Amino acid sequence: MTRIDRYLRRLRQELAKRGVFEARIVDETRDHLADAVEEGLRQGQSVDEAERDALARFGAPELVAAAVPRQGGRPLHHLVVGLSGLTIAAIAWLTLSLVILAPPRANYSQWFVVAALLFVHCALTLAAVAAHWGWARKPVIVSALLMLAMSAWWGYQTMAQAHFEGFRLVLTSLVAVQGALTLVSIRIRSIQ
Amino acid sequence: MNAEALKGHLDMLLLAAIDGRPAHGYAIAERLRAQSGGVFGLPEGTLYPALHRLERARWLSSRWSAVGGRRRRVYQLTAKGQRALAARQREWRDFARAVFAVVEGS
Repeated sequence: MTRIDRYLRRLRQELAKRGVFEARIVDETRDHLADAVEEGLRQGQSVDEAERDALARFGAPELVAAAVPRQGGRPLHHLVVGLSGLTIAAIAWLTLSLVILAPPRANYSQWFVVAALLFVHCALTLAAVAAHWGWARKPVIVSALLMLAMSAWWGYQTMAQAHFEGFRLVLTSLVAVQGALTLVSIRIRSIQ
Repeated sequence: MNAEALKGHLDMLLLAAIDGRPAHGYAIAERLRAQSGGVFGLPEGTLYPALHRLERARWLSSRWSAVGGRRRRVYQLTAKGQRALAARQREWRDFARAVFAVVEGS
């Protein structure tokens, strides 16, 4: 990873701390630094010198991010982080209960698929929203969409059944709410 | 000149640097540095949030464009931005004239 790449990663993290997940300023920064390094090389600097100069002129990531208005949605971030943590704890508790109590009529395969999906989604959400890891953002959008699709399918199946299963409908709604909240929380907000 | 002193004038400086000559961020930073004789030493990264803010106010518009074989976000003044620049230039001339009169008169 080059010095410029490390800088861009830090800038993304600093922006994410301010609730800004928009890639445009990062793209423009990359272009700007490429121009500045190219100019340094034209003037006879080594790559190392040119990169150092370009970054020094651009300013520390904290300084640049501080000039970007903080974006709304912090309470929503806290809610999503809290829900994800709770869901992971609930999955662990339910899975452990299933393993220990081993109820004969439990649908183990269905539970483990649901638990795995929920766990991956919540872990990705925590990585993207709480730890501000930029790489997790796209996967979490995909998993949130997957959860919404899954809950729609379950909802349809539940409603189509002859006998009403309240627990299943509640679980389906929770999955849908979790997916929707995640999508809203990490929404793309254009700085323009 | 330190960054704090520049902040109050940054909008006008950016609008003036772009007026009639659409440019991408690096070129705008270069213009500010060259036209000020190297006096304006803002961290270049802080120009982008300012450019985005001016775009949000519809004083600037921007689009991705290929410049020198690379994709660049190019900014240009809107009609509203030109009116805003003209107003700030008038204010600045009045202010500078008044300061000059006081300072030179003392």
